[in-house]
Amino acid sequence: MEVWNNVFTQFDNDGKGNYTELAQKNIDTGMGLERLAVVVQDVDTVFDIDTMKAIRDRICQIAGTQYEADEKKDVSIRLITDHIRSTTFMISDGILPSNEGRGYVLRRLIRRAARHGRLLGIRDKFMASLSETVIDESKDGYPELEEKRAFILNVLTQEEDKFDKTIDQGLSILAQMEEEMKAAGTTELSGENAFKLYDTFGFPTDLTQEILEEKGFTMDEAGFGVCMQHQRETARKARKTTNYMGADVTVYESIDASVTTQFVGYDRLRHDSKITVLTTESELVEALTDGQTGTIIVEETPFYATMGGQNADTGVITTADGSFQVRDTVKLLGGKVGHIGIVTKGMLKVGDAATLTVDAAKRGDTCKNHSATHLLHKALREVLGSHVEQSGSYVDGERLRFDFSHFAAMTKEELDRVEAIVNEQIAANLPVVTEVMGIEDARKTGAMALFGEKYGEEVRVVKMGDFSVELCGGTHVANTSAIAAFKILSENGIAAGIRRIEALTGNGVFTYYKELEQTIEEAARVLRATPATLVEKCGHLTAEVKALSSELESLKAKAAKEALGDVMDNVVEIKGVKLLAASVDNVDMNGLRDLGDQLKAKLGQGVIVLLSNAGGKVNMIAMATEEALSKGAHAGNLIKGIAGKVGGGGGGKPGMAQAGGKNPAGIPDCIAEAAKVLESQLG
Amino acid sequence: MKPYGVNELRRMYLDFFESKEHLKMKSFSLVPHNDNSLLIINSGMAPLKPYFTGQEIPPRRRVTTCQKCVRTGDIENVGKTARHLTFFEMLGNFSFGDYFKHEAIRWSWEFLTEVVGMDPERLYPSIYCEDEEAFEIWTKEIGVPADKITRF
Repeated sequence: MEVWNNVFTQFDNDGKGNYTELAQKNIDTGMGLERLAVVVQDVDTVFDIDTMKAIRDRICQIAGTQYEADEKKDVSIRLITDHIRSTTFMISDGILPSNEGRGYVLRRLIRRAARHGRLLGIRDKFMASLSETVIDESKDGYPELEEKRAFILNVLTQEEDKFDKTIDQGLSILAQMEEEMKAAGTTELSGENAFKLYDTFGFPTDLTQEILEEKGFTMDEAGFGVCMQHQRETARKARKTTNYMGADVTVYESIDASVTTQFVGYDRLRHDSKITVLTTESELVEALTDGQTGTIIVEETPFYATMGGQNADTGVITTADGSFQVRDTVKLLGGKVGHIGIVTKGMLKVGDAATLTVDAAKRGDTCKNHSATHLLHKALREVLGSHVEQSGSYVDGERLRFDFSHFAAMTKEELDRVEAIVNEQIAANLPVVTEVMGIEDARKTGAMALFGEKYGEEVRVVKMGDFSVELCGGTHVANTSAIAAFKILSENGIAAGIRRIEALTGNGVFTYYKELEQTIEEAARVLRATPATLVEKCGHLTAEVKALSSELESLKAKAAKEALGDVMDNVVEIKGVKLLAASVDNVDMNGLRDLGDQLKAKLGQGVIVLLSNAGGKVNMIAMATEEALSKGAHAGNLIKGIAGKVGGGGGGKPGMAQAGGKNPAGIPDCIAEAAKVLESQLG
Repeated sequence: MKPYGVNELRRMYLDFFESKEHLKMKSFSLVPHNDNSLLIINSGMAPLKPYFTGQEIPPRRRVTTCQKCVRTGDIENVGKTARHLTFFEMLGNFSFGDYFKHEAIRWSWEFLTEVVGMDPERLYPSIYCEDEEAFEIWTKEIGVPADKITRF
């Protein structure tokens, strides 16, 4: 068995089979820890080493079964032992189940494990409980597992729950498809059906295949592939060109690795430095001139590059000969900062002394939003509980957006409390202190670290009074009072177990309230009220509208009855059955039916025929009550028998029928004919 | 040889290479940074690519990690065999233009035989078929009999 693989990177292959010796020789040597343990612990397989066996045993305990008693069960036990490890670790790195990319890999692993749990006869949800064993076995090497324990278990439970529902639905649809296959005498599931299960019902394709395989069926994989084509193409278009190591191919790769940029912008917004690199969109250049777009790299910059959810600074870079408007600032590989923008005046050259000036107003607003995000994070933990973890964040000069783990929509009360706490901390005038320290010291301060984020050995800790401590590389206000105000705009769900809050600070809040005030004033003006009496006025108006509508309804009803005249005078009796045949003006089919019902109530038993000339077209209905039916009346045949008089046709059931016609002039004939037809029916 | 546990072995490996002046780094996240070619980190060297290509300067020229890895290419076989895994941990020692074959071979041997305590008689080195340098190191510096070395 191979335990150790030493890779010596010595030669470069030019693609034609010629090898040249590399200037830098690298060593990439690796050894699978699990394999090493197999040898050292003198066991047969990776499933027998201490950490894996603990998981395996726990599965057997939950399922009430034994390992190595039944080969079919062993397959399931091994599969779950493996998958619970990958899923636990993936979630601990912030991956969440979804239908694409990493999220889909995770979802597929969770669902496969859950299904094999069912095969073992486990009835209840078990993934979370099993994940506890993984965490206990591996937290020694991966402390993040312990830190994210509650979150990992929650995600697993939710996804397993979702899977239960999906699987029940999918299994019954697949069973239906199997029946259809049997009926059609085929053993192959069509590509369209397989895709439908996958795409519409979220049923994993590998499960479809496994289930089919168990029953001796197959799946039309080619047909499935065709259906997948569209999705794949969309995905491919979304992906960019990559270089041989996979990163985006950009002009920045040709920059010397020794070029770096020092960020000096935590406490200054204007700084003098030297231009070290200039690029256009495609190549390195010595100079950029008026109107050209490109990127500037300097030795030291006060510009903050987009990072950790904080949007980039903008501003200007000036030299003796030129001026450059910075529209975006990005962090490049190898500790470089790129200032992207356009030359607005003159020319800038490599080696020029340059003055870099950050747009102070925008930076100031961004700082307010970023600091408020820290207060919000802490306030959410106080109100909702310590399971709240940041899963995403975005701040710019306009607003802030904060994504976090929580398993239900927040109530109005919770939102009000969170907002109140943040505003209290703003008013509390807390000093914001930043300190750079070792990661271990930072952990001891209880600083909140971000999900899946990689930290170096040295981290920056941002402290707001005693209220909030967070690891953060962003820029902040000097004192929470500078934030001035905080207002939550919305709270909603964006993924399973992930909520999003959008909020405003400082001037954003004042502008928001100003606009709200204007809207209220405008509304008051339109309603001829004042803001103070607006609610009362609205109450009056609503009551008035209600009264008017009910008055209108009763007037309409009255008008309809009047239009009908004294229709009850038209009632004739034919062979002991009352017939009411009449015409009304301008009533649609629904109106005729309503009217018919009203008349039926008045008439008691009998037959009703109503016609209406509605804009040159004829609507007609016929109804027969039970007693009339028992004597032989049939509304459907009746209407069929008379509709010809108005140039139309129709039909229906014995009790109720309708028809349309084109010739309103025939309405009197229809009414006369109705009596004759009914008479013949009762014969 | 003592039957060390997985957690012990991980620590022994990292400590050993730290004693050989390697920078001990925490496992990188399974989510790749700045790498569109890869959905999930699948090997010890994957997160270190920028150091190998020279795009970024490594914090030290000798680095050791125990990297969590996920590979789902063989997912159909997981469970069916006792070998396939979607999750595993990769122990690695890396040289970015620093030491080369002599040290790499010597230290791998030293770790297995002296630190872990494997019986040297039961170890069979294999080398790339044309790599005479490696053959010399194994036979002359380490003292492994030539007939125990396989060429691929």
